[in-house]
Amino acid sequence: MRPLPAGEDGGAGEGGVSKTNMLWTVIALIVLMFTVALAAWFIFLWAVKTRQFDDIERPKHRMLDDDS
Amino acid sequence: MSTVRTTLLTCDHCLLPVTDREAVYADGPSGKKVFCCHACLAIYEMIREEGLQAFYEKRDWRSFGIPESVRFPAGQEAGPPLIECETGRASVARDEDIQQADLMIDGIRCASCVWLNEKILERTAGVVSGRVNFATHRAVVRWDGTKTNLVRILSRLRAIGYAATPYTQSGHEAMLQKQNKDLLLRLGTALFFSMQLMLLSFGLYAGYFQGIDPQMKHWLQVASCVVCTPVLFYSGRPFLKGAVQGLRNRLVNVDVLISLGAVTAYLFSVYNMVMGGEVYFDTAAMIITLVLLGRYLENSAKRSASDAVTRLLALQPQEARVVWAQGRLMTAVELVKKEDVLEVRPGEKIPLDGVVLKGRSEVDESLVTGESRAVEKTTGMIVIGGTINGLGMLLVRVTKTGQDTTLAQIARIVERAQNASAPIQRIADRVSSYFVPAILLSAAGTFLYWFNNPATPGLSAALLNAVSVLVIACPCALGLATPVAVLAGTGSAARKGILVKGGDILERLHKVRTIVMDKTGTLTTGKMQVTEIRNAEFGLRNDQHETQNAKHETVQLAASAEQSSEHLLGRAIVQHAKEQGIPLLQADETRALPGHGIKALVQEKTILVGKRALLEREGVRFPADSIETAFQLEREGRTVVFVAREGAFLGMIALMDSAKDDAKNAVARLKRTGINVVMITGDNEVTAQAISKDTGIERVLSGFSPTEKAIEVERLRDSGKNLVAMVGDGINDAPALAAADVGMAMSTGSDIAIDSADVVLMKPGLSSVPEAVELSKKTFLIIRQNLFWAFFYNVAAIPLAMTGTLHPIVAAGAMAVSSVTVVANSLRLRK
Repeated sequence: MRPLPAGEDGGAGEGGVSKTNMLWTVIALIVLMFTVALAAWFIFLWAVKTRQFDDIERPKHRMLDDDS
Repeated sequence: MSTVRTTLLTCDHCLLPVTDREAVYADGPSGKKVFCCHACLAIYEMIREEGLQAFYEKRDWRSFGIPESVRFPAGQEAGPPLIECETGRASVARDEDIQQADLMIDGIRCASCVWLNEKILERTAGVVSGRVNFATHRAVVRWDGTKTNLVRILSRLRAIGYAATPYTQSGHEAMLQKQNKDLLLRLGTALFFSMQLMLLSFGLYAGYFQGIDPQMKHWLQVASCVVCTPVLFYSGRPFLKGAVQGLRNRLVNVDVLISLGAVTAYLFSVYNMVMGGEVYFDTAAMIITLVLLGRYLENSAKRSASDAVTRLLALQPQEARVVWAQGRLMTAVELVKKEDVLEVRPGEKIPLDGVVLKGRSEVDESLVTGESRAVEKTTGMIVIGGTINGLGMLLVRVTKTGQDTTLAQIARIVERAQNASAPIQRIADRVSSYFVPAILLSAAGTFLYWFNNPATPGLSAALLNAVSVLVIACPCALGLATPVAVLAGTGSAARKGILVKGGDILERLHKVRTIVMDKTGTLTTGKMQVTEIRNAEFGLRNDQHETQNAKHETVQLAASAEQSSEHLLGRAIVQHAKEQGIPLLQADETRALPGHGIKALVQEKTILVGKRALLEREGVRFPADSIETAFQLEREGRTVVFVAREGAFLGMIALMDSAKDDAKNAVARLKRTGINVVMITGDNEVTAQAISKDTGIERVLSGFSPTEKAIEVERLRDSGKNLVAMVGDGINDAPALAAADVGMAMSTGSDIAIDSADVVLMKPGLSSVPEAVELSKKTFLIIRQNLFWAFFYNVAAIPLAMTGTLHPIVAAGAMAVSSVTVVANSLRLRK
């Protein structure tokens, strides 16, 4: 993390970033995070439903089989 | 017998060692191949025809042999015939022409076996898909019903050396699987949202150290609340439900503690979020996630044990060979009707209760009655389903089927016993029942202190501090404390050949003060063995040196006469001779005298081996002391066989079902740990006493029927107020196994015993029993330590909450440190 200069309360930007801008950035990032997380969650739900977790031993060997 | 030198070869298919004279040879593209039998040769050729020889390079077999049901001697029919009836048992799902069935495949040892099976299925005409599960040895096959059928598919797998049987999931199993899926969904959800929550929380933690804009903090808190809510109310639902149920029954269990911690943390945080304070969403979500993780780990340990047991039981298909006018038919036992005639071949299990129509044999009823001596069965005698046929062929008319059989009656007793034994309160529940009132009291104390404190007047400060006590007090690692230790414990047990069917069993086992052991098959080997040989020339003394040669001669003659015998005692004598390296002589004119003995010509001399009555009838005179010696031996629980040569008494051979080699040692080890060992048996007093002397067990209960055994176990539980474990293997032990606090079955035992037991001992010896007890003690010690460490950090932080200086970062810290401590401590069991 960027060390804070003394006297600055972690907010108002010196380099042109305003407090509101930073807030909106964080909120946007949170929304983005939720979207990605929800996508991952739905993939997980789909995987459980299609029995992908039933055998976690065999599939890793399957790619080594040659298709003779 | 001639003594031509033989060399040992290894079968190219099943890796079984085979002598060069017995081996089967074949020419392959890469030189000469050696096989132990024609079955292996056929399998090899089948695999080669399919172009799948790569299997032999890839496979990683650490044991040899192929499943019993696939092996067959040259010239005989190709294994048990497969007929339509066999598939009647399987549940075949149909979707228009496409049919689907579950199979259980025996003989899978490595990933290449799975590959081979899948390839063969793929190349079977009409098969749409075939997937084999490596972990469970089960396969799901889909095929086109218009092009092939299940029988053809099964025989394809049998042709490459694997025994495949249709497999129907039991209701219990289906329920377990559904539970596991539900748990996985809840855990996965909890993990995903907790991960998001942790990211957000780190922002808040950083804000604590570096300062944060209040508005930004608020938004982070709102986001935390959003991701925490599903964790608590979806993933945590089982705990909330359990807590409500517990409170309704006036029970304070783990669920109450967890719900109390998580719900107060959540509500407290929502209040603080609105009012602008600190939030504890991460604590609430973590409690739920870790407890779920613990349950999931425990469940999967349980499932892998029950999978192993199912596999063990599936290896013994419940089939009967029905005799029809047209021939013999293998049928599922459930389909056999009264008055049907069954053919029971040597060594097979008699499927149902019935009456012998034809044939004579000795039946081993020890699994049902506990009697170690085989019982002679001839026409008109009753046989019990579940007993094992000796060496004769029997035709049996079925008299009882379904719920009327002896086996079904015992199964009903088992069920009753299982329902009657109440589960003991688990340690985590016990701890919670003390801990919850304690924290409620300290919260109340905190409230009163702050409420009466003049410096902070009013309700709000007092209430906030009191609630923060509740928030910090709930230990997150509590959910991990027991399951991780149990997982490590059962894993280490499995490596020692001890299958434990659940975590609570390990908790119960360490408290066991009395172990009841069955005699036949558990303490003893379950087979007749020669224990003593007395010779007439040397006054029947049991002297080692002087009589060595005479003993040698007695055994040699008796074994030579018996070498083609199918009598169990005769075979035991032959076995003894082979073990002692005594060469057998040529025997002619062998004549078996059923129920009495055998007569043969060895070295031109008439040899008589058998009961005293037979020898007396043939005019053999017994020296006076020989009768006395024989009585003495019989009093010690031995069966005595007399030997005469040319009408002159030569000596006697005493046999008995003797104790296992490690029985004495195992009993001594159990006694050292302060456990009472009791022997219980359906056999008679005399044999029981003899075994008790050999094993060092003082308390012997003999002549007990299956129900009496269960009642006795029940009585031992009540009278001593101590937990009782039962070790057994037979059908007659099953009710007692179910009635005991911990039932342990030998894996060589009957299905019903394995099914009703909590622990299955995969090794034939008895040393697993003390090993299991010791392991459970070690596991329980670790559980106790884990619980201590799980509570320790949280309890240490309570004063902070009481003084009103608690911060989320402290709660998070306690959570992390206690979880790591608990897991690291449990891993010590893996050694």
